[in-house]
Amino acid sequence: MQNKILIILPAFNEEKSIAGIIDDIKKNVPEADILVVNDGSFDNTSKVAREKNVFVIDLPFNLGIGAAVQTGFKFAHRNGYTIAVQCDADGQHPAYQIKNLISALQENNVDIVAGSRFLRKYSYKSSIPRQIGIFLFSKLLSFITKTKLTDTTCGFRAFNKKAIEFFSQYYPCDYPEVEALVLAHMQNLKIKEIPIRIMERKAGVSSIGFFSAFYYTIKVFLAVIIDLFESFHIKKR
Amino acid sequence: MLRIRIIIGLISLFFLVIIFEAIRRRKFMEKYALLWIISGLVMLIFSLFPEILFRFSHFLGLYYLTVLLLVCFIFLLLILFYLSIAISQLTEKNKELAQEIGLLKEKFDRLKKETKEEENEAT
Repeated sequence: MQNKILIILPAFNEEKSIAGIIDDIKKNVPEADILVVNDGSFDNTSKVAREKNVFVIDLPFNLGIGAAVQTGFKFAHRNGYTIAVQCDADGQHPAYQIKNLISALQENNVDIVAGSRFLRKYSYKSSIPRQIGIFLFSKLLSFITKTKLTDTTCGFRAFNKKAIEFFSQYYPCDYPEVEALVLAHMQNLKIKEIPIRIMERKAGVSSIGFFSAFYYTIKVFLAVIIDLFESFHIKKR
Repeated sequence: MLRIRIIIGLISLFFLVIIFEAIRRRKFMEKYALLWIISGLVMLIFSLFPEILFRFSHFLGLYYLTVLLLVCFIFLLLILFYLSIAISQLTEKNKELAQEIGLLKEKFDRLKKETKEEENEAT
């Protein structure tokens, strides 16, 4: 069966970079459909994306990255996509690697393929508190999921049908990347990491500033611990 | 002692009237008002029949007013907890509604475009 692929681009005020990403994806993965989830941007993100003739969902107001990505999963689930790839809209994730994510999904027979910036020594610089947070969470999650995970905060991932269906119903709200892996593990979804390379961001600022790094760590840690005790009632539609 | 009882009694009566009036004007849902009404009534009972509270105050070794404040504090905690849960649920529902609006709008725009193209082909 031919796979139906959807690239999900959550975008908040990305008018400067979004057109470039869309062109990049169209060139590298021409068979995939692209969905831009405009998360209540104040700028022309929606207009620029519409001119590129891709699917665009305009959320009525800013819901945060987690809810924006989940909207993408809902779209993918309802329109029968068998593979979804989540990708940042700020140009950090070069599109030529999307193919690697998708083929890793099929070759390894897993449900989620997560990109990791640390599996191979590519140059990646980040602030020290962030690096510590990333390191601690990867240790914690490797322990919980019993899979080797080196980078749990990267938002460059591919999902199969099973993962799409689950995440269309449950997806964490803010700072969702770490928690999403725990939830997936609790659902017995298999996760595999592959090395990726990321670019310096072209425009816009990181969603995580210096001071929110502390809040981020506490909040995500608490959420991860609680998730371990959570039970889910999957609604079949 | 009598003075403080009268003050507390008046405050709780005033309080109950305000709650009642807010519900009557449909500004306050009964669901959320219930805990407020109960706490108002408890205050009123304590000012009318202080004997109940005296037992507590003897047992805990506290004064009348302190016990009353303690009771109020517990009620406030309950109300706040209830409101936090209500807000969380509303936030979740709000998110789902917003997502649904986005998805439906996208579908609507796509269908509109398709019908337009079909019409153009027909003519």
